[in-house]
Amino acid sequence: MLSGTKVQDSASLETLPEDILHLIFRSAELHTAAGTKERCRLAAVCRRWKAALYRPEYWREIELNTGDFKASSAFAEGLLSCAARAGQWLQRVRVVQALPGRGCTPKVVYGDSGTRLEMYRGAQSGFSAEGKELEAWLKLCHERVMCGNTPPSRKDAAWQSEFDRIEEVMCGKRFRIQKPRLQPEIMNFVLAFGQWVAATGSAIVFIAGCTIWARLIIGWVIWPSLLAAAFIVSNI
Amino acid sequence: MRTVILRSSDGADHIVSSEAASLSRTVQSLLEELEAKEGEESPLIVPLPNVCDCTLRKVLQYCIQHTEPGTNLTGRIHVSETRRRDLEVWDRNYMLVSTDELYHLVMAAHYLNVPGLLELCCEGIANLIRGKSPQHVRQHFGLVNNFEKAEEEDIRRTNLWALVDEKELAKK
Repeated sequence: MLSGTKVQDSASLETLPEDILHLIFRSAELHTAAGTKERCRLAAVCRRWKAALYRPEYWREIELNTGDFKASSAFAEGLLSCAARAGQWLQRVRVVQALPGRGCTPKVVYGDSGTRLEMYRGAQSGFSAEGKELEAWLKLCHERVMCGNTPPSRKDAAWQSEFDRIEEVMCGKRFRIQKPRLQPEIMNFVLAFGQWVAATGSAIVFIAGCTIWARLIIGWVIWPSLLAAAFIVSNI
Repeated sequence: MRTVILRSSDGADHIVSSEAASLSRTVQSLLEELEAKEGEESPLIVPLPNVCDCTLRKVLQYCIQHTEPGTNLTGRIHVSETRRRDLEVWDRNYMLVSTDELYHLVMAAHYLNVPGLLELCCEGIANLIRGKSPQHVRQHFGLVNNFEKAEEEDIRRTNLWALVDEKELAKK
């Protein structure tokens, strides 16, 4: 039996440096889609292992900024083309709801195909169905990419141009897909404009109401009362 | 071929060829420094305070095996197909060690910076953890579950699909 290094007398994998743990996990191919199930299991071992497993180097992230969680066919086509171009499984997809005023509590779900989905949304209701739908699309992407099939033709011209643009920043680990008509800046502007219109409208209605009431009171109460008073006084 | 003396933490000396010793990048850089200081005539003694005698012996077995005739310094790139297969078999047998030994070996490989050995050890540990449940891994490697209750519950809920044993699922 080896007596061990001087540095560490009691042998335990818990005390291994994080970079060695990282190498071990890479050897076990836990960073791949196929290793997802294993990864989930091992993340539940202890904190150190969890931290080593989720080192950012493992992940290629896609951030979807959209005001709508509903997975459309265009959305799936887009993901599919991204996956094909990246030449790898999109392991982590972060979906961010762009609507302002919502909380940012992430909800993490692992799907059957091994995708880690992080959904940022204040309200959790309805998440599950949407998550499943998204997961189903991603699974489709995965199957097609892994089988080496070419992605299907994209019918949506707007999405086509969007994904052409994305290619430029795909060298980085993180890239962002933004549906043009649902950009948060535009959403913010539309909401601010709506609020301004509502406030101005209320003010106008209030002023108009006050004016009408004033005219009614002056026309039908004050003037008749004054005339009646003048008539009575003149008769006396 | 020049020989060098590698001195372990407990003072034991191991005489090896400089070629074998140079598989360790740490030793290689130390050798270069020593050569510059002391010249090429005097014997080179490399102290390795972080590696004990037994572990160093085991590491040197690997280094000698991987620098035998027909093997180049970088390991297995230019070796013949037969030699490569022989080395693979040797590596497999070499890795038949206890978890404790494996731990010390991986630490030594990391410290000595022997890429091939480090990779081999990592593969060995990866094989041990593959397909095991978290409880099993903890038990096998003596790890402590340091998650808080709420945190653990959250992980369990999130990863339920992966944590459920497939065999149990099939039985149900």
